[in-house]
Amino acid sequence: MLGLDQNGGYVLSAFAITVLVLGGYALYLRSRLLGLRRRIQHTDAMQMTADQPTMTTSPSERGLVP
Amino acid sequence: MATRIIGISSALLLAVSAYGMFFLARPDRVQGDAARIVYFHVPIAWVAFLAFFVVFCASVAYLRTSNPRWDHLGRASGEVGVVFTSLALITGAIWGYPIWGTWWSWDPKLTTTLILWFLYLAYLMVRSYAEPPRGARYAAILGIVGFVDVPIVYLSSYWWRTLHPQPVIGPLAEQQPSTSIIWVLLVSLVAFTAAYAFLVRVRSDIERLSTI
Repeated sequence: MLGLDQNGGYVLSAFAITVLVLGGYALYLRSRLLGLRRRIQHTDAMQMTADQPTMTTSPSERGLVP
Repeated sequence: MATRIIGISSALLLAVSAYGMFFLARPDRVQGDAARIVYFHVPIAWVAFLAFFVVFCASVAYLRTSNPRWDHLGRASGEVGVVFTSLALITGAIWGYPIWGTWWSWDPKLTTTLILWFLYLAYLMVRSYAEPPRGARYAAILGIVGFVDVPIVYLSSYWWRTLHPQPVIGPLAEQQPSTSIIWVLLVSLVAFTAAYAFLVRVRSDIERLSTI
C-alpha cells in the first residue's frame, strides 16, 4: 500500500511500537487522573455528609425529656 | 482545557508528520526506506533530551525554593523522558538491524544513551523508595548530575567517529539535508514536543492531586 521496499516491515514496526507506547502511556495516565479525580470527589462528598447535622425524632435527644 | 487542546493538537500534528514521513519524504539512496525511521527516531531522542533539561531546571529550582511544584514538574518530566528514551533505544535498534546487521552495538552513542536511560530510571526509583522530602532532594541532585550525560550523548558521535551516523540536523551536522527532509523532521519534532507537553501536564496533574 505504501510502496515500501524490503525494509518496510522494520519502518512500520518501529512506527507501530512508537504509536502503541505513546498511546498506551497516555491512556494509562488518563485513567489514573480520572481515578484520582473520582476519589477526591467521593472523599469530598463523604466529608460533606459527615459534617451535616443529623435530624432526630427521639424526645430525649431533642431535650424534651428531662 | 489547555491540556485537552495540547493533546488534540499533538495528535493532529503526529498524524500530519506520519503523512509526511510515509508519503512526502523520499527513500534514501543508500538506506532505502529504512531511513524513514530517522524521521521519528531523531525527534524522539531530541524530546528525551528536552525532558531531561526540564528535569535539570526543575531540580535546580526545587533545591533553591523547596516549592513542591518544581518537584512535581521534575518527576513528571523524568518519567516522560524515560518513556521517550526507551522509544529512542527501541526505534534505533530497529533501524540498526537492516542497516548495520545487528540490533545492538556497544557504540559510544548507544552506550551513553543506555547510561542516560539507567540514570533517569534511578532518578524515578529514588523518588519511589526514599521518604518524600528527602527523596525529592536526592532525586533533584541526581536530576542535576544525570544531565551531564545529555551533551555527552549528543557529542559522542562527533568525538568518537564510530558506527552511529553524525548529527543529521543542527550546528554539528556535516552536510545539511534537503529542504523537504528538514521540513518533515521539523513537523515531526513539533508533533513529538507537543505530545511531550501533553504527557507532562497530565503527569504533573496526577502528582499534584496525589498529594492532596
